[in-house]
Amino acid sequence: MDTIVGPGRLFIRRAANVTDISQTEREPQNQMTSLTIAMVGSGGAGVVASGEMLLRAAAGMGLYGILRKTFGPQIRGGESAAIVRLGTEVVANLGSELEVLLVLDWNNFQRFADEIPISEATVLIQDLQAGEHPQNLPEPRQTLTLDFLGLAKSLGSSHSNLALLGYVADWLGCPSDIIDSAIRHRLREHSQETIELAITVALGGAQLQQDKPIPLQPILSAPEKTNSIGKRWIANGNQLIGLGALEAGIRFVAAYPITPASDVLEWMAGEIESVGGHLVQAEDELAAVNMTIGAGFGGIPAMTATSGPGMALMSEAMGLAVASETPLVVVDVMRGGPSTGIPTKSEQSDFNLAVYGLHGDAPHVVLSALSVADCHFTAGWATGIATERQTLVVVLSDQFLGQSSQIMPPLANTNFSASAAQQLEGDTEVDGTQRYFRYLDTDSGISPLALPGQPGGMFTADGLEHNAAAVPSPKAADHEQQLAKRLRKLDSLVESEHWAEHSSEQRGQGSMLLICWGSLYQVALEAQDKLREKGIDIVVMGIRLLSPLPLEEIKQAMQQATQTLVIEQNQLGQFAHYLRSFDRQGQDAALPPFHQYCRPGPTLFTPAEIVTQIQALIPDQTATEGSARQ
Amino acid sequence: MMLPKEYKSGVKPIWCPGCGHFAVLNAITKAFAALEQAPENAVLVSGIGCSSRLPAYINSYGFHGVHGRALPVAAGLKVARPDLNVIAMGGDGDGFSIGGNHFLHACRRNVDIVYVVMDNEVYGMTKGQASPTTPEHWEHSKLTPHGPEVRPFQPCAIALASGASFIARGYSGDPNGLAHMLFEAVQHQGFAFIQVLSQCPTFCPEQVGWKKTVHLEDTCTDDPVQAAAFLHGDDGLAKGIFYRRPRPTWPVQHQSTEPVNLRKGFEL
Ligand SMILES: Cc1ncc(C[n+]2csc(CCOP(=O)(O)OP(=O)(O)O)c2C)c(N)n1
Ligand code: SF4
Ligand SMILES: [Mg+2]
Repeated sequence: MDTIVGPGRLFIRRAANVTDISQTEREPQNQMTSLTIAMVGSGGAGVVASGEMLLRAAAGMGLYGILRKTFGPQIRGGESAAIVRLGTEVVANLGSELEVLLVLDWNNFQRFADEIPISEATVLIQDLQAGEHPQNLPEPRQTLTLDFLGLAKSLGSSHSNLALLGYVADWLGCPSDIIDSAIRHRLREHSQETIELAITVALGGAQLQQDKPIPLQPILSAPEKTNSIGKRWIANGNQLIGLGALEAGIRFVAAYPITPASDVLEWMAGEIESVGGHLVQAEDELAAVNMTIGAGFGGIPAMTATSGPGMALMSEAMGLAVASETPLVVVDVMRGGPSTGIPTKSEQSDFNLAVYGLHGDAPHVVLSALSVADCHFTAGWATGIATERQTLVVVLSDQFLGQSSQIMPPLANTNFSASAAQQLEGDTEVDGTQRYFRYLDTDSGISPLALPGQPGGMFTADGLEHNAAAVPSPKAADHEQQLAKRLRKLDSLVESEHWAEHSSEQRGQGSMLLICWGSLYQVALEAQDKLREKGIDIVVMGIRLLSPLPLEEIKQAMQQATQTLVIEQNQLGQFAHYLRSFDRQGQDAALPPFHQYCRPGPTLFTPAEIVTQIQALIPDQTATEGSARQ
Repeated sequence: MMLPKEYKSGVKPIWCPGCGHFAVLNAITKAFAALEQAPENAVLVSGIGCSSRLPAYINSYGFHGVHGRALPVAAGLKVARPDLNVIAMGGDGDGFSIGGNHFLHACRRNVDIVYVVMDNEVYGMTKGQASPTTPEHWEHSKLTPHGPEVRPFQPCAIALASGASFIARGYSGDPNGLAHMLFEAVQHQGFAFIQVLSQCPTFCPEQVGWKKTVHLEDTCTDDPVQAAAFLHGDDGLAKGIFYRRPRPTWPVQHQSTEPVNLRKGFEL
């Protein structure tokens, strides 16, 4: 056998401290090693289940990791893959490299070949029955062909995926009791017989690894076992949106199924009754959002979750929430668009819809979740804002955050809570009749709010323009007053410390500034570490509050930086255009010029890709780097 | 005890003189008085149209939403706040055209609310276009100069087929009869649908003739087959409570589970 050299050590920033992202420890960076394993099979072959079991086993070993599941468009059958990246510190993105690729079936592999970064550094392990190896793939470092299916069959099973699981877990040094319990957990609803057979097959796979090892050193040394390992979590962003929302007080959900948002709803459906709430599967998104508004009007904090096509249908009623000043949280787990687009893959292309998609002047709040763990925080914050400011809050997550499972330290409570906003004052006598001034023009813009059931507060909430007493009015003065009030009540939000996460307190002094939002933040943080190895310092800003945009803060950071690059995962550079729209030349608000790098999904951004973009903007340093290598 | 007129909010209706919706407003105040309805515990929810303006004219809570979506707002409110008396309302365009899908599912879901459709067989607010209940050969809209040339929608028959548990038809020319129906509908447990023939003298002056053609039918049954036979033979001008058959309302109350630790499932 060739002498095998392990892949280079990766230096990864401690990905946002998931215990409390707002208090992320930024310095010093911890060095960690990570490696990425992909398992590919036809749908139904169980590679995704194997990925889940592998992640759980790794967690049991004290490792961190993230699991991305990827499916073809078929509901059952077709192709599927599980990509598991493991590390000794929190792993919050998929990285750029692939160390080990295990293939049970090459059929349809081409459909997602571009999501699986095979390179000369990859060791390929394929099943004897995998079929023809596709042409035009990069030549792997080494290829092993093994009979996983034959092994499973010899043990009385057809589940070669379990042999694969045992094989790769053994390579990682995973003790058999940990594989055992990972399998038991995943198959807990199956018969004892099925479970025992699964374990036997996995142990067979582990033995195979002893006989025919993966020709590569697994560079992860599992940390010492501590009690805290057992307290760690495995969760995906969709579940954490649900958790953050319920913990902050959401007690009503109405929604219509759509990939990749359905599992927000499925998780919440299982939990919401236990906290005294309700979830309604509506007949469509129009009903879903309006039911949610009805509940919000009744004083019950309410949300809906959907994806781009569903939010497009909701947009009229989202404007109703703004005009009637009814608290409403809409979560958009973005997928590829336009139209039905690519339902199972990630993209950041609903920015425009979220920010501009409402008719009329309809100021509202748009937030983005900055990591899988941050889905929890952002959902909680959204609930707090919606109820406190009596308005619409849109939360942008995406398929990557929503459907990737991650090992993380337990999350702290966000301490956001739906404010009991009902206050009755506003009751005044006008022209001898008692009136309740539901839409009173206050300094803060936030008006008194009575809830049905409270005597003395009766009013009719209205999407029609109205006056302060909630009586419909087309008068210019009322329109101006109410428009101004609805805009003003969001003003102070930009002062919130939660508006963004920064990779450094310096916020850009003297180095380059990288601005991003949503799931790209974690990728950008890793790019920053890679650049530091090359002697290039950058500062990363991940914007959580997309609208209203804290423009002054952003402007300051841009002014302090040598230059600024904005990155996002959509074709049109939607956020970059938005940012430019504030650049009123010659006025106070003028922003320094900035670069933009945008491209659509479905392939994920990688740290290496961002590094390349940044190096291209810093020609001098790249040259030095290059010559230093020679 | 409040008098019917005390249930008026004092906001002046925008309706044309002779509009049938006035009678519906009066009927609601009479029914509320008879029900001794606490104004703060009633919520009127509507969509968009002349008819949908009604909530602002009643001294109770109200929600005037967007076109066609009164039913989902009302259902969400009732599920979240079962303590309230929730009445959804609107026009034939609002309820049967743009909001038609919600009508089917509201009947089917059987949330305990009342739904009043003020059916004038026309889009009053947008100045006289054909609605789903407009007669096939009504040629008075510029938008459909040959008439809609489509068979009119049958609200009561569709409500029955979709699972509504209380179905009635009232008439704006008989506000007392309508008040009685509303009284019964509020007391009914489940989704109660009332189609009100509510004249629009402005765009359909011929509806003034309804006072001669509308007839009372005392056919109330709990048998869906009988109700279907009646409704399919009906000329659309019968008034009365046609069908009443209580069935379990939604949401179903489940045994409340133990308070759980929401975080437990995430731990290794
Ligand atoms: C989304 C949307 N489409 C169209 C309209 C215009 N519109 C307002 S009311 C209405 C029809 C109302 O007819 P109906 O519900 O029968 O009520 P009526 O005025 O006859 O009482 C229409 C089409 C609107 N407001 N919103
Ligand atoms: S247009 Fe018709 S429905 Fe509208 S207010 Fe006038 S009479 Fe009533
Ligand atoms: Mg009408």
